[in-house]
Order: sequence, then structure tokens, then C-alpha cells
Amino acid sequence: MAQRKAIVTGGCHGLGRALVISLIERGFVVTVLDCDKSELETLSDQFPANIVSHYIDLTSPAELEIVVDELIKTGPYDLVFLNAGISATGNFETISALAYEQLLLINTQSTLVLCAALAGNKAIRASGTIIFISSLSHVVGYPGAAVYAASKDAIAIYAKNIHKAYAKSNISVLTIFPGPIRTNHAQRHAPAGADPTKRMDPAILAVKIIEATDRNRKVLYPNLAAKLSHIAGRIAPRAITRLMHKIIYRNMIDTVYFEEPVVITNRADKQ
Amino acid sequence: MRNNTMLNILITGGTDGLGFKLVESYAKKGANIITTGRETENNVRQKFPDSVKYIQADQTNPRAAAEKISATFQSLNWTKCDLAILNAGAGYVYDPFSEDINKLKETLAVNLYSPIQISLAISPALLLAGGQLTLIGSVAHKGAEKFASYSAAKAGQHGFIRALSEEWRGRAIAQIIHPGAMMTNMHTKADFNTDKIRFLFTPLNIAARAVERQISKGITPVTVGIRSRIRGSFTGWRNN
Repeated sequence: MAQRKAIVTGGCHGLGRALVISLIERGFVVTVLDCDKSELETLSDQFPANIVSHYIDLTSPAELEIVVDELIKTGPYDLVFLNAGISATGNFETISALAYEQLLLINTQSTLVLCAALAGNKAIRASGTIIFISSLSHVVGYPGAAVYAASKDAIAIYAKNIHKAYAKSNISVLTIFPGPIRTNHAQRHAPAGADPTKRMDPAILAVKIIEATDRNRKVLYPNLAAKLSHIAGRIAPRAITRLMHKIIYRNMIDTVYFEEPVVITNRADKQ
Repeated sequence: MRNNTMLNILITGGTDGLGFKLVESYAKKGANIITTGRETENNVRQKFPDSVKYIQADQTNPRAAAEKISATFQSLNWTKCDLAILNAGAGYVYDPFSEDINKLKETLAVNLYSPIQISLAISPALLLAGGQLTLIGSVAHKGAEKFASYSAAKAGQHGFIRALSEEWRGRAIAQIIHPGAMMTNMHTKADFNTDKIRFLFTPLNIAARAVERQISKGITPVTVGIRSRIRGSFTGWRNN
């Protein structure tokens, strides 16, 4: 059997990294797209035979275009994990236009562009799967991260829209709706005093996601809390958003956090 | 929003369709209006009464469009904005399996990034007025196969307002209205042949009145569709 190939965007940290490790354990060659140069090198050193790394700033449509062309040449791929994402938490009006621009370019645009470009150019193998990492905010709302919520709703509905058309080419589309995951990302954006042990372990989540691709599923609510939230969000969407407001937003007012500086230093050291 | 006299109202996408109807209606009621579009001012100036300020703000460049609107607020001394109707939108029809990447990007910029950037740019004026932000969404926000990225953008708008209306509660209203298909030129612009189903679409006058009624109520999210069409058939059918 030919070597199976996967792509993971944002594969250096958090859930992305856990996916990369799990995939390598299953014998995949994993192409990782990330903006963290040193972590990319660490991964390549650790798994020289199983990692292909692309150092890329996903907020740059031009860089993405170049990498997409390469991925099309090196395809087809079995699994494509569109995982890269950043957040911006705090009062909507206190965060900069640039931070929102970059958030939308990474979370929504790079995801949709990669999906459409790879599928449209036959870079995804028949019986392959594209995996969208949306968010539980799609069902419960996310006051205090309005643009993040928008970015994740957009990809959830895009995945739903393309599902049938892709099925004609025997490509599955799987959307994940995870709640908080125990990552540095979640730690930065969590309200003060939140209990990190209640967040899902990324390694466990990664395995669940990969297993779900084997079973050809359409959506995955990865744990009980997510499943219950899904049901509650269906029954009473407004009430549940109000509840989110109470438990998250009020505690978060003082912890405005967005990733603007990170991306800018990254651009600079690239030149 | 019962008394529209001397209110400061922003309406994006005011040169055609629903936006144009709303500009006409609020202008008649004596509001101060800024409206936007892709056209140059010379091409559309004669459409509007003198009291309406038109600016060219192409939403394929979201931040530039938002900055233009901010600059116009400043030049007109609008420290407050009572109502902002972010209506401008555009879509394309295609098989999602062979989507043109540039059109995908444009659809996201016009329908998702721009409303967010404009909301951000005018949020000080809205919050100072205790005003109302209304996004014109679409019934497609729950999914529409032939409009994959348009529908995704509208879903993004929905989630954005869902969160923001909670955040702003007590300070300002954030609302999204999802109209069903209306008799505008939007579908033709999207290369979508509607001849066979056009009789199902709501006539524009009726849709505009229903949207205006929902704006004055300020409830979110709300769908404007078949009910307004039935009501309209009793009250205003002949106006079309």
C-alpha cells in the first residue's frame, strides 16, 4: 500500500501538533503548514522521514498561493486537516482592525482557499477526507469573541454546503465542533480563574478526530459537554448565548488578548 | 426608531435593490443619510435627493471601505450614528467543487470582512448614540449549496451579531435580519437564472417595508420572508 499522506495547517502547536503526532504514529507522511519556524525545524528533526514542512504566514494570500501550487504538485493527499486558527478576545470595539483582518484571513480564508484549491485541482485522493476545525461557538455563540465566532461559523456552513458536491468525487467533509482544548491558545484566551483541567486533552481529541475520518462521519462533537451544548444550542439558541455571556464574557472583560504582535514579529524575521 | 427626523443613518449598498429602497424611505422621513456603493459618485448622484451623502466604498477592500466611511463621518461631524444598516452584498453561483478562488475571496471580503470592519470603524459613533447596528443577512445563512461561500459569509455575519448583540446589550442594539429572495437585480448580477422561480420572490417594496418594520423593532435574529409577502399582498401588492 502506498504511503498515506496528510496535510495539517497550524501543525506546530496545540491540537494541530497532536494531530501531526497521531498521524505519524499511524504511518502517515505529514505536510505541516505553520508560521513557527523553530518548531517546524524541531518537528522535522524529530521525524525526518515523516514531516514535510512549509514555513508560511497564512495571513498572506500571496504566500498561500505559492504553497497551494506546491501542494497541488505533491498531491494527492488522503487527509487534509484545516486546523490553523487564531482568536481575538475582549470587547469587540477594543480590538484593532488589523487583528480582525488577520484572524479572518487565517481562520476563514486560508481554510476555504486551501479546501477549494486542493479539491478543485484533484489534490485530494478519492476516498480522502477534508477536516474543518470549527468551534463549539457555532452552536452556543461566543460573546467576547464575536469575530472569532463569525470565522468559525463561516467554515462550518461552508463545510455543510460543499458536502454533497464533494461526495460525488468520493471526498468526505468532516467538521469538528470542539469546546475548549487544553492548549496554550485556550490558556491565553480563557477568562480569569477558568479551570484548565476541564479543557479537553488535545492528544485524546486528535485520536477521536482521526478515528472519525475512518468512519466517514459528517460532524463530530467530540465529548459529552460538546454534545449537550449542541442540543441546548438547537433548542434555545438565544438563551444559551446569554448564558455564555454570563459565564465567559463578564469574566473576560479585563483580559483583552489578540495575536497581532506575534504575527508581526514573524513577518519581520522571515525577511 | 419611531421618529426618524434628524437621525444619522448609514446605509451601505444604497444604489440598488433593498438598500436603495431604504435610502429613499428614510430620506423621506427626514433623516441624515450617508450611503455607499461601488459606483463612482457621478454615475449615481442623480438617483438620490441632495440631503443624501453618497460615497464610493468598494467592499472588495474591507479596511479601505471602512476607513472611507470613518473619514466621511468625521468630515460631516457625525460623532453619533443612530442607525447603521449594513446591506451591501454580492454573490456568485457555481458548483462548489470548482469554485474560482478569486471569487471566493471577493465574496468573503464583500459579505463578511467588510461588515465586520465597518462595524468596528463606526462602533464609537454607534455606542455614543446608543444606536442600532443592523446587518442584512440572508436566509442562506443556514447553508446553500450553490452559493457555498456566500452562504458561509452570511453564517459568519449571523454568528458575529449573535455574539455582539449580547456584548452590547444595554449599550446599543446589534441585529441581523435574514430576508428571503427578493425581486432585486442581485440574482442577475450573480449569473443566476431566476425566470422560472421569480414569482416566488417577494416584491421589493413589500420586502423593504417588512425590513424597515423589523429594524424599528430591533429584534434579532429575524427572518423576513413569506409572512411579509402574504401581509403585503393585502396592503401593498399594487405598488409594484
